Amino acid sequence: MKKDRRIGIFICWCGSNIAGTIDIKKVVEETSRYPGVVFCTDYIYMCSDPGQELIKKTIKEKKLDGVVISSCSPTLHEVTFRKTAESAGINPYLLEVANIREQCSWVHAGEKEKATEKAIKIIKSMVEKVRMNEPLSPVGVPITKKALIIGSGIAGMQAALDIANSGYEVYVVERNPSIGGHMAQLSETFPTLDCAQCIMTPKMVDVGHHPNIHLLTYSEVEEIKGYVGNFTARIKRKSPFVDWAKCTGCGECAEACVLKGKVSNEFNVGMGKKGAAYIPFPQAVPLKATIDKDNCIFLTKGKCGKSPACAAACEAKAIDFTKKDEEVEIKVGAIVVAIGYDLLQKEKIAEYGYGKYKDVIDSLQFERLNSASGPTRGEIRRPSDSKIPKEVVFIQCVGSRDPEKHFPYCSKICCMYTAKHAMLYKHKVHDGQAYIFYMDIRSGGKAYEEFVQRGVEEDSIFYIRGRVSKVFQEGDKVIVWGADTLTGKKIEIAADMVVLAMAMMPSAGARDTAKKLKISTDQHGFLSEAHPKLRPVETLAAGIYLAGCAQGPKDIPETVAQASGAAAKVVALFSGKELMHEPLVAHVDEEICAGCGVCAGLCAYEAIEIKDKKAKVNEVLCEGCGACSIACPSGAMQPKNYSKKQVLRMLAAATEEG
Amino acid sequence: MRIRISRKNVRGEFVKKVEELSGQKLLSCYQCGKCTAGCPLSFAMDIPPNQVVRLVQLGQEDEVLRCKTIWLCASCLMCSSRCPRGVELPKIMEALRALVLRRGIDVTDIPKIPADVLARAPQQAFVSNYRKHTS
Amino acid sequence: MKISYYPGCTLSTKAKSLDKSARAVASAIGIELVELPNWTCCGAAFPLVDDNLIGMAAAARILANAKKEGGKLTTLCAFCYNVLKRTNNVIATDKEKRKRLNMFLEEDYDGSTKVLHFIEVLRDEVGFETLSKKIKKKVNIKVAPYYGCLLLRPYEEIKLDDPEAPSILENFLESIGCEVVDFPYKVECCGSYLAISSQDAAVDCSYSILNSAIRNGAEAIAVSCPLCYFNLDERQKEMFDRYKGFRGVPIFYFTQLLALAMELDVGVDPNQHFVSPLPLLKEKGLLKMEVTR
Repeated sequence: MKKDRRIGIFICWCGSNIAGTIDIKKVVEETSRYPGVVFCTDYIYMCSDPGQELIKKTIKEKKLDGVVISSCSPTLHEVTFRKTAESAGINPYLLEVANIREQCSWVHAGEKEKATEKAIKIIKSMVEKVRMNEPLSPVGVPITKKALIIGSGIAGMQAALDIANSGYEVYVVERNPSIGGHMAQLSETFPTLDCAQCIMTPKMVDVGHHPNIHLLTYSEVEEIKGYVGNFTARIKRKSPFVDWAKCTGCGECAEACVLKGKVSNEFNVGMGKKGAAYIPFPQAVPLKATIDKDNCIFLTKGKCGKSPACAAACEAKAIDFTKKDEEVEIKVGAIVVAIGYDLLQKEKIAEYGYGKYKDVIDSLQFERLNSASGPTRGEIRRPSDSKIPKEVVFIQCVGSRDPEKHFPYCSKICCMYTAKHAMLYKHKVHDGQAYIFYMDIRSGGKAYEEFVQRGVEEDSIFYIRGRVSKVFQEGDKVIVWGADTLTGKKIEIAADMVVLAMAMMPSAGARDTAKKLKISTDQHGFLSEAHPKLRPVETLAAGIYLAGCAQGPKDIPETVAQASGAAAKVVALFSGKELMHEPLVAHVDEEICAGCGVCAGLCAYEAIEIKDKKAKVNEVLCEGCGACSIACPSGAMQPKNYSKKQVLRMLAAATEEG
Repeated sequence: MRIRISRKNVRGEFVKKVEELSGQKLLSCYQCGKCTAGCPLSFAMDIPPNQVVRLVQLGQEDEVLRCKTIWLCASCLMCSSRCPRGVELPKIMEALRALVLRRGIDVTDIPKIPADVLARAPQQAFVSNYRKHTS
Repeated sequence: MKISYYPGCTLSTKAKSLDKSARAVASAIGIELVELPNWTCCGAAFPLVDDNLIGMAAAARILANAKKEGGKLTTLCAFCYNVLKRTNNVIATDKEKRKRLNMFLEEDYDGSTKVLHFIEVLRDEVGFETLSKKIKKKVNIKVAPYYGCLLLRPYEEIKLDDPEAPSILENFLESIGCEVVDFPYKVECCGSYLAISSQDAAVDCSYSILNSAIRNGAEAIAVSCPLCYFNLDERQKEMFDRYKGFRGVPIFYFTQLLALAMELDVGVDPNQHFVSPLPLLKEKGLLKMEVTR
């Protein structure tokens, strides 16, 4: 039996949070008499500087080697108090927190006597634990100082550049053949009306040429294994059926393709067609051709005319129909998930025609119409007959703020981009009229409100406050039935074209990616941040960070800020020599262990292996959950500082009578 | 004219009664106007449907119970089938009608129904009209 | 197949042509409609306030009755269908209301009767494919299907078809050879019971519907509800007075069209129609014999 511990108890009032319900005086009286306790005091805010000074001073003066802080939940200040203990010269793991707030005063408010009794029991049981705690040292974990960025829209690119510019290698994995994401599809951005391509291509080119960035486009993440500082990612590189090492991006294959003009163009959101061989868009990075394997006749039917026209047209002889998918494995220390968003499909909206009216388009389609590289070379022409529309109705909130049928949340960007669309339309069609049906105008960003008012004053955008009940085709017009709640009138507009501001949702496959990374999503599929206010770029999985609309609807400035924030976290992670892992892990008494293997089978973190007939715990992987210890038939496996003996003594103290 | 608002009317007897009879949370309505936009009878109404809800929210009992709107509602359910907040406006309309009818008032003036309607209209029209518009 | 049949008040008096044509086609297809014994009025309006339980008592009685007779009930009147189906849902799902409604009934009822509209029987029990093989002559008219409200709404309780883009009547009409005319007012209200208290408003609603159908090329309109029939047919009298250039269009019950297709001898009684369908039928060669009285 080792020398008896000299234990000190520090009881916090937490203002009135604890002292309002618990009789602190009584607690001090009772607990100071407990065996092993050589000192007991109380203070109004133990976590404050004076509180911490008190603890430090007392540890030194009273030569304490065991401390119980009776306060709020350990999730809040355990780390702080342990640092204080360390600076006073004792091992930080000889300090424990007895939670008499969340587990006592906050849940038993109004029952002073009972709460006080319970607080005393909680503190006593923690004293029992501390009595048998061992001093421990954190485990050092090596870090692979490389990052993986999943998704290469503006968020992914920004994070990649920031990390690469800090001197670390970055792998960017993108499932489309080119980087750029949705921002590459935009024509102009609010509130400056900058050409999206113009402000983005410099970044795209930087990403493409940066010596520290490895671009893996047309690729997908298959599996992620490992933990912070030590991830292994298996990436599938889809075959574009073109040897990109030889391809010059000249585009001759796309011109020659027999299916040119026949295959739906995803970049143009279903408007305008391309061929099976294609370059995604003129500013694509990498500027390489891809062959769409689902549509290419040679790949689906085995034959394309006498011989494929694309191969014949390619001077660099880069077409390679035998090229297969490849798999690569990379080792990284941190992952940034920037997988972006999709728009709710208009095919889901019953009262607006289930997507079957050609002249009812969505906002991304409008961007493509307005874009110089789009299907109409930037002229605003309606899809059905290419006429220039003179009456255009924009409908906001389609699928958003709609808890009954679609999504309850606000998609944040639609008010701003609809104002922008109406302005861009008027700048091109001077004698046209734009109407916007809205419920509210959310224009909170910098210069946003001014932008909207400019649209009203300079371009006569006609805002109508009310939602649209029905949209249908009548002859060559699209009839819109809305309401103006400000006057109470039903409004009917015979529009030439209708643009729907569809709700923003997580991009396709977001839930699958979350599963692969073992991170959580909210009920809509947006990736969950660690704390909505204070930790917006981290997930609860150490080493995995978030950026952009994958985490929730936001505009470009917020996305860029968040991406840089995530990058800063990664760089901070990489800045130390190694990572420190909590030493509160499982421990095997090899003398007792019989090597039965029950523990290894149970471990959710794959942290135990049986070697030489003994269980061996990988202290870096172990998260201290305790499952192995409960299952261990001989008791050889015990969590450090949470042994069976300790638990039984804690229980005895907590349940004693009187 | 200014109307005085306090918890006596916005959470007063009238509002509570309408909520109880209709089973609806009146404040769920955020006045988007989709109901008014799709209502086939709103062209004939003096107060559009979404404004009726707004007036009830404001506790304006007299104005609401005197309007023509609630007697022009055909219970076609188009409004509630499109409401993004799941507010069942037909139930609110019926609750308002009930509050008038249960005072012993008959809104349909049976002697004034034209002879040809009496002769040719189907039973279901009379039964449903009398149930909704008479006490 | 046998199925209990609830005609309702209107079908027995003002909408005899709907009842007659339905019985005739049912028997021709092999559906035995067994009229519910001792049936009474269903109440026509489903009570929308929470405390109006007595308003459901009549419907509950009919449903309990139907349960005794086999548990499957069909009706042709959209009002009856709506009331019966919604009352049934309440009894099946709300324990408290079921207990209280059962206090009005002779025997306890649990909400397990299946309520089907006749068009539902044709779609689900017979099948439109089968139906198309049983017809003798294609009804080669351009018909616009008009649904009205009660057949489709509220969707969560009725679940017959998509309330914004339904297709049950279209599929039915195609199976009997009609050319279907789609028009945007097919699910808008005709004015319903306002025909009694606010005739002008009801006429305006019905006029918008007819106008839209005619503009889209309809030669006739198929309905499933006697009140829609009244508003759309009888009220054309006012429309001719009020709206210059109004052309008028004949209205049919969907079962009448089916009877025509099967060349059944139900006859077309011009007294039952304000706008006579005879000229149209004659033009299309669908009159088997001269008018029956």
